[in-house]
Amino acid sequence: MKPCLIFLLAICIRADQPDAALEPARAARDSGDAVSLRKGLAHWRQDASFDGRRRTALLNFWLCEALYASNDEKSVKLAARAGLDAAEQAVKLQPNSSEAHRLVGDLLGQLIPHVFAGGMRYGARSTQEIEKALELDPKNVDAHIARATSYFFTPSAFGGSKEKALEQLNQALAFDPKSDTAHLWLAQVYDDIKQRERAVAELEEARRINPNRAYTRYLATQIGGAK
Amino acid sequence: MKCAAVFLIVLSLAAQDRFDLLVRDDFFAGMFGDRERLDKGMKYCEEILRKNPKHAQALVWHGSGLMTQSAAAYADGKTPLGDKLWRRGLYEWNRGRALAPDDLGVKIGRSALLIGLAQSGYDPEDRQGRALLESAVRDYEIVFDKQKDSLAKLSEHSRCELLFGLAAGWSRLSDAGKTSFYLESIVHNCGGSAYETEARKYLSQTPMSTIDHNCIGCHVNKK
Repeated sequence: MKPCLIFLLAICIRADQPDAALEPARAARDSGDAVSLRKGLAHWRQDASFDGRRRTALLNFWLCEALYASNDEKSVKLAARAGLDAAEQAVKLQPNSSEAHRLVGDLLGQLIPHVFAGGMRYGARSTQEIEKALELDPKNVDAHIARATSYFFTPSAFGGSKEKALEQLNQALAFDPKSDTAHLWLAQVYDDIKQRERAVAELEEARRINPNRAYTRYLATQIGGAK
Repeated sequence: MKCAAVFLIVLSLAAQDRFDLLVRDDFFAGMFGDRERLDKGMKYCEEILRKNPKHAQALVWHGSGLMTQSAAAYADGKTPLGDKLWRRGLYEWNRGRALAPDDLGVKIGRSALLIGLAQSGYDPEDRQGRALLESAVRDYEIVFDKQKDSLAKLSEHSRCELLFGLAAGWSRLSDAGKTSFYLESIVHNCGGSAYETEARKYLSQTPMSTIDHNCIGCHVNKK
């Protein structure tokens, strides 16, 4: 049986378990398998419920990562737009969902580099959505990571701060020490501020927690270490 | 009444000379989030434009204010309003450029802002975005051509931001030759400054990454 069929079957079997239903997609993200993620999206795209919209947004967000890992940046813009539409619908369906607001903020962040003047047009809104997510759930690990990436990419004159990015990522790890995503971003921040040994150590930790993630290998080619 | 009239005449003469000096602090403060000062700059431009709707520099600065307002509208979740303000801002920029094709002030204001905006997001396959960036870089080339023999007389800020704007613009347009040329020009013309350090950093890279230059010593003065 082909991997994508296993993936679809897994979705159908496990659709009644909201978190477990996305594990095959998470594995596809980890292996940089854009084909399987798109198959998953074809399923969830039909679902107009809150969970359907949230999952569509999340899978598009993961698709962005898989596309980056395979150097297919051209497709990232399409995935980010599709995910953003779904996340905004999720917010309309459940305005108090921290995760839905986090996804709007994160997907706007994905879109910014691919839209003319994206930072000026969408940067402030992205930050506001992530802060709303944190206000609704201060323990939302992905929202802390999203806030960190916002601090990381925003120019200092507009409120960006590498130090605050590190603080947010450490906060994320305080809530979830096994978040390889937080370690991956710590690696990128340390690399940016020329603390290479720390960057490599964070990359190694991310690889130890999740040895299968293609994005870790991609970053290793950029930063070094953690093969 | 007489004083007010004299004031307006002086204002209007000054506006024809270095209009940017009159408004840029307020507009830059506005871009960094000070809505009160943005309103002040907008009202000033609107007053000028009410008297002279073809005042090209006022149009360019007013257009930049509309774009700042569009960002605020997007942040408030008012996407249609954001899109409308954004389009109107672009229209005013392009109209200002068309009205005064030889005005270096218009070219510098519009090009600096467009090149800065492209650094905050750019899709080479977006034809409108690419055309805007190309027009900005071409205009900066004209400014450089007119000023190249007297670069040393310009302030470090004006000289080196012009050269970095050209390097950053050509970098995004994937012209490696021109990017390197302007980075070398920065090393030559901005020696001993933070600009030189930054230019050398890019020149040492293989392959060179896309240039992201943040204005050094920029225009937001504290009031």
